[in-house]
Amino acid sequence: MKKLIILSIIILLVITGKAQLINNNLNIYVGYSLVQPLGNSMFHEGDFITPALFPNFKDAKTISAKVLAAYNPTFSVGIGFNYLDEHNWSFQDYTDYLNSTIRQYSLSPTVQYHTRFKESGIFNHLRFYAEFAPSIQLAQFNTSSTLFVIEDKNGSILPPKHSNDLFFGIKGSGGIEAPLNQYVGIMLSYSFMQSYGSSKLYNDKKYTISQLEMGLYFKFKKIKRLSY
Amino acid sequence: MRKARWIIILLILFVSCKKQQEYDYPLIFTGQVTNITSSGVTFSAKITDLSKYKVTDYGFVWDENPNPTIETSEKYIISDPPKIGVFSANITTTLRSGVLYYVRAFVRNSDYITYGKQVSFKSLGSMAPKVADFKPKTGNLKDTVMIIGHNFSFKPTNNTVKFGDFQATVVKAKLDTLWVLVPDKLNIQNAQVSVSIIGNIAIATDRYNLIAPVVTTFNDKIGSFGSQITITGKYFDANKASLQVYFDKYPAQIVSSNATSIVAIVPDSLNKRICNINVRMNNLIIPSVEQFSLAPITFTNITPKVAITGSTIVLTGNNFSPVAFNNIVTIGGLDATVIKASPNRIEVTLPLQNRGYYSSRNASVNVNVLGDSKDYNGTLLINDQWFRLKNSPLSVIPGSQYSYGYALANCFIANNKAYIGLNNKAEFWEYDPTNDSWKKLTDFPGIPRWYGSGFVINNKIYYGTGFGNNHDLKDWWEYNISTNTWTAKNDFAGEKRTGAVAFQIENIGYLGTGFVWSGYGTSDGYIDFWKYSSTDDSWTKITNYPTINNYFGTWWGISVPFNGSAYIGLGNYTISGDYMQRMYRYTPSGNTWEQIANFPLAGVNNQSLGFNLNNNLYIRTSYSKDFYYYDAGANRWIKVTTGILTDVNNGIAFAYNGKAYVGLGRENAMWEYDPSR
Repeated sequence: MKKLIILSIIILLVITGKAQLINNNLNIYVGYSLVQPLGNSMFHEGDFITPALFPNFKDAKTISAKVLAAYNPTFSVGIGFNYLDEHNWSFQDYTDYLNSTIRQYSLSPTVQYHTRFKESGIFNHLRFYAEFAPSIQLAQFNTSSTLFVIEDKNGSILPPKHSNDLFFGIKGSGGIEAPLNQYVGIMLSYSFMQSYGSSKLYNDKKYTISQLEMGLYFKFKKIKRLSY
Repeated sequence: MRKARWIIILLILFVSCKKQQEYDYPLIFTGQVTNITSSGVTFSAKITDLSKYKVTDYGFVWDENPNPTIETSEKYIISDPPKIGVFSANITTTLRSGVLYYVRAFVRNSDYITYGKQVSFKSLGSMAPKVADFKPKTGNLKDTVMIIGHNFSFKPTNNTVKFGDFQATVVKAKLDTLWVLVPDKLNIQNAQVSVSIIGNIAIATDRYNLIAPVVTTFNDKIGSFGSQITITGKYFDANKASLQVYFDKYPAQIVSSNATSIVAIVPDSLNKRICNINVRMNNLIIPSVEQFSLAPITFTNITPKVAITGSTIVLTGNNFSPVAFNNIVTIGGLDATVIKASPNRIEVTLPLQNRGYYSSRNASVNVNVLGDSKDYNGTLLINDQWFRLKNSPLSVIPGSQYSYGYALANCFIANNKAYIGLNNKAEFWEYDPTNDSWKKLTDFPGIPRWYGSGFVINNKIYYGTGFGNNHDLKDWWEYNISTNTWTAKNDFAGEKRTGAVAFQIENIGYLGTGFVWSGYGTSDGYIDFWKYSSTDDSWTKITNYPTINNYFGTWWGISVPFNGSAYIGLGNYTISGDYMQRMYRYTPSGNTWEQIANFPLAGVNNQSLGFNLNNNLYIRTSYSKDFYYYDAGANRWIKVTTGILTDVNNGIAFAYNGKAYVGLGRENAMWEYDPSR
């Protein structure tokens, strides 16, 4: 509730601000997301059914950073970096991935389509956008569960408990940017990402998340040109 | 464009910095169990890594106990080549309804085995096995048979395979094939083949046939122990390891064999004269149609021809049994102990006379080998000094069947015979030693009694006194041998008494000593002595029996007439001392008593036995086993080793015609003593 009130005040400030804002060509974004893993709790592949890893994490958050440069008045391109942290796996009475975590690092070239900047009016203070970002992710899996029992001639040996796996995904977002002044603004977006990959230590071949991101952006390379 | 180039370079670096790890061991996940029905279940798994090394096998293991392993649990091995990805198996066997099972997928290479996480499930059951076929259908014990079907267990011990009622060893198992060994105890020619898994049984349509031998004939039909017989037939070489030949049930040594003939040796142990020859192979016993006969025995000689009991003699002949106890040798009616035997010689030990009596000193010898009996054409002379005669026909004293049932008989010698009986019964017998025969005489009409006394005068027996009807007696009787009749006579003139001694010398009878039994323990024994005249049936007192202080008398003593006098003594006294060893000679002409050397044995010397044999006095007391004879010249007693093997305590003894006769007592045995042998 508190967050909603703060957000509302900021939007009001932005809307009711009377100063004319200057356009710029480079924005740097930092953001924090609440992540919701999506998908079936059980993994199915033919007759093989087993509890899934990714959809059953109960806690997931990301921190992101992004750089976008204006390509033309409506398109910007850039690159984004994401850090995803998932833990607290649980599903019914299954113990397969108890005490497991995923830390994921992703790199996403990004294309943003946004509203054109206006010298005055609402589009001087607000920008609406949609983004498309393919990504490459490095997923670090760690667990203290015993996934396998491995024996050699002398007896049991320790099974593997962590892995680093590559995933490839697509992220689509929609959001709103609102400058607070000539130098910084706030942004709010909702995105949906689906990634594909594989691991030797778990069976999931894809994972899907939705995330609600809030953040700040910093404006660089302003266009200081009088128009009359 | 420049910006895009930098983005691509960053992406390539990002991708190349991390590769998936490689492992020495394969990795596998166990999936949840699905399709759980009364017909079985579906197991599934996923291999995520095959490892650096070649995978040797993979599949599932399950058990009722947690953490099943490939070594101990039921298993299913996938036949397809291993690859990364999912696989599954429908399990329709070895699952019992209502049971909680644990399953793990596994994958193995040369160095490691990896099990996926354990998954549990409750089974609703599984299908019964099915037997489609088996081969071969004919064979021998311990052959390997392959059974083809469905729903077998991979674990050999979970498949119970039976041929008939006999369980076979499963040496290898797959889901659709079993390899088993025909049980070595199988003993029926056509056996049902069944497979049972957790109580579900499948039976093959066909039956398994054991190869059986065929016996056509054999030669020779008559043979001896140790001779070779050739058996003709078929299939003798099908299972040589189990081939056996029996004559009846006795195994024969096989000299040689091939598919159609067997040469075997007639076994020494054969104990039937006529029998079938049985060929056994694969536990199947096939008898010959014809019968085999042992050759008849011949019995030609015995060595030596004069022997004593307990010694060994040798019988010679042919076709005796080499097994000692299959030859029964009877000598004079008694079974001899066979010590050693061979087909033409038998060694036997003559039975001792405590086992029974020989029919005669000139004993017949018979050999019976498995029903073929032959007598020796001659006799064996048994040359023991002490020879047991046939048993007396006297009946047992009433109430004494288990102790001295024939004791305390009276014995009188007259008319070249012995007259025996009257021991608490009326029974009276005549014994003829010349032909060892017995004749029943007229019963004694008087009161049956113990310890009566008597003597013989002129072919008549005079008898009386004793203890009968709980009284001491003094009645007196005459038995006429010629007429076999009893007549009552005048009572004895002295006091009633029991256990007196009595004897005759030159047709005069003498009776004295004894005691009153009614007051046993209070009487000291009588010392008076009397002589009897049969002519006028009267008694005259003579000199008292010599005693201590002219007072203490004796009873149960012994008296033996001896060449015009008599030896009297021993017996029982109420006072201690050597009195019970004392012996006296009474001479009627002087009416005198002369003491001779004491009998060598001390103690109560009552109810002794004695006889005059060839002018030698022989005496034996109740408790000595041997007789002693009296050397009158040296006035001493000399022990004679006595070969009596029955208990003759309280028996009878007499001499006749150069031999002595001793008998009765505990048994009704009789013995002859011939010192000339």
